[in-house]
Amino acid sequence: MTKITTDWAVGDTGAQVAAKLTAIHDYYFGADARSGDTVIGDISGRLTPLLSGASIPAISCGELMLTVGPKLNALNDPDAFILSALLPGSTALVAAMPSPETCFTDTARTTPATVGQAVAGITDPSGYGLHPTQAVVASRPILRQAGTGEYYLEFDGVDDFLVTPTITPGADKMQVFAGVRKLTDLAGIIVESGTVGGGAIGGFGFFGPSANRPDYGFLARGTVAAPPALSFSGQPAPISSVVTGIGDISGDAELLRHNGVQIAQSFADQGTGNYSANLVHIGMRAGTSAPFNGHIYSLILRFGPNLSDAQIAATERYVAARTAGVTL
Amino acid sequence: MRLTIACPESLRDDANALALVLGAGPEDVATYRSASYTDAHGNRYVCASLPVGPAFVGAATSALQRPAWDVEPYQVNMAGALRAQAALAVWLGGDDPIPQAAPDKLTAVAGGRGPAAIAAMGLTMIEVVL
Repeated sequence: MTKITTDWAVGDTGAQVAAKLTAIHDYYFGADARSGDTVIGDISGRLTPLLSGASIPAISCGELMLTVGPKLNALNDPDAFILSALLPGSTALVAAMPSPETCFTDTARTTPATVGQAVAGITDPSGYGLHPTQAVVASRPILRQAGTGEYYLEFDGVDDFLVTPTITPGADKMQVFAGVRKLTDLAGIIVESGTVGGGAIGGFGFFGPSANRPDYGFLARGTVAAPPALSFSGQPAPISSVVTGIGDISGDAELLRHNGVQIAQSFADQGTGNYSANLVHIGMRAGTSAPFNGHIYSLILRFGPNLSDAQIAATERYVAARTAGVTL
Repeated sequence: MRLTIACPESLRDDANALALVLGAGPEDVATYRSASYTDAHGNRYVCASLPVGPAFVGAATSALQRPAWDVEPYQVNMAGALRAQAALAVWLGGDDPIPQAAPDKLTAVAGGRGPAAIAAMGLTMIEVVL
């Protein structure tokens, strides 16, 4: 991904700060500003007027640097920035953002992959160290690059998948963001926990599609055995999309978003408990069925407190920027 | 070149032994996992699909050697690998029709995408509702 080259200086005027923020607004991410573990304020609330071109002197550069400096510095690296914005409050976070820098031909992630090579491991830059890997030669997805420059993993729809180490969520809220291109309407797993995903207590599954039909689907649950699986139909392959699934067990909320718009939801009782500690499979159900036939440009899975609408929207824009054929 | 292989469920262990011989390490014992495809007669198959180099088919059809990493006590069932090799039917293109998957053959088709090759071998995915 192209890096942002905006520089920040303590002596910048409010107008200069506003101009720089506006120039990079595609990468702007609203989040709480923190000092240690203490929330200082809502960055999105403070910066939105600037981005809208109003009330430029509302905050001074010095104050801005003081409160959100670390995040602004991270703007020079959008990949790091989005993760730094999602990291606070998270209990587990895994990101798969394919590129020659993150993909490797060995599971130890020592030999970088080039475009066209099979990927045995991909670095999870979240800091949790949940690097997805694939030890079986025949089951490795291929690193590809779209004509417009975006990198992706090509899953062959037969036996390709990646699997994370065991993820212990320790939370009853989750969010998953994916930039994908599905090439078929045969049931396929984008990402799923355990061996049956949402079929188990504390499980989840994110589908492209959810059965032999033209949809995307999402299912996340607590102890209640049969919460509704969300489906967004009328999305026949081939199609490129940014899809988002949001689960909240104690809040009894299950949301499915497509290209930045919430298109399915359930507020039925999901029971209790946290999401279960599990391996997480990308591209296939437990390596045994429902192979995903398509491309994954970006995948971010987060456990932890609910994100704000601004955070969700900003993450979707970030994922879209990495996904060929999707503009948000 | 992509090679897509249809393995009858009954040959899975032998096919995995062959994968160990031709693959990179002991993890390749899981190359053929679950029978997710069926033919018109209801026979079930496990499929695998992978890009291979130009020497792969030659190695698969030549005398098999126990991989260097496999030391006593041996993990690779060489007898099984030989049975799988004997069942191998490879289609590399040309005028001959694509062979149909059969319960006594390890059918391999070169070229195209995996799902298309599997369909050309007469197999359909067993429907899953997630």
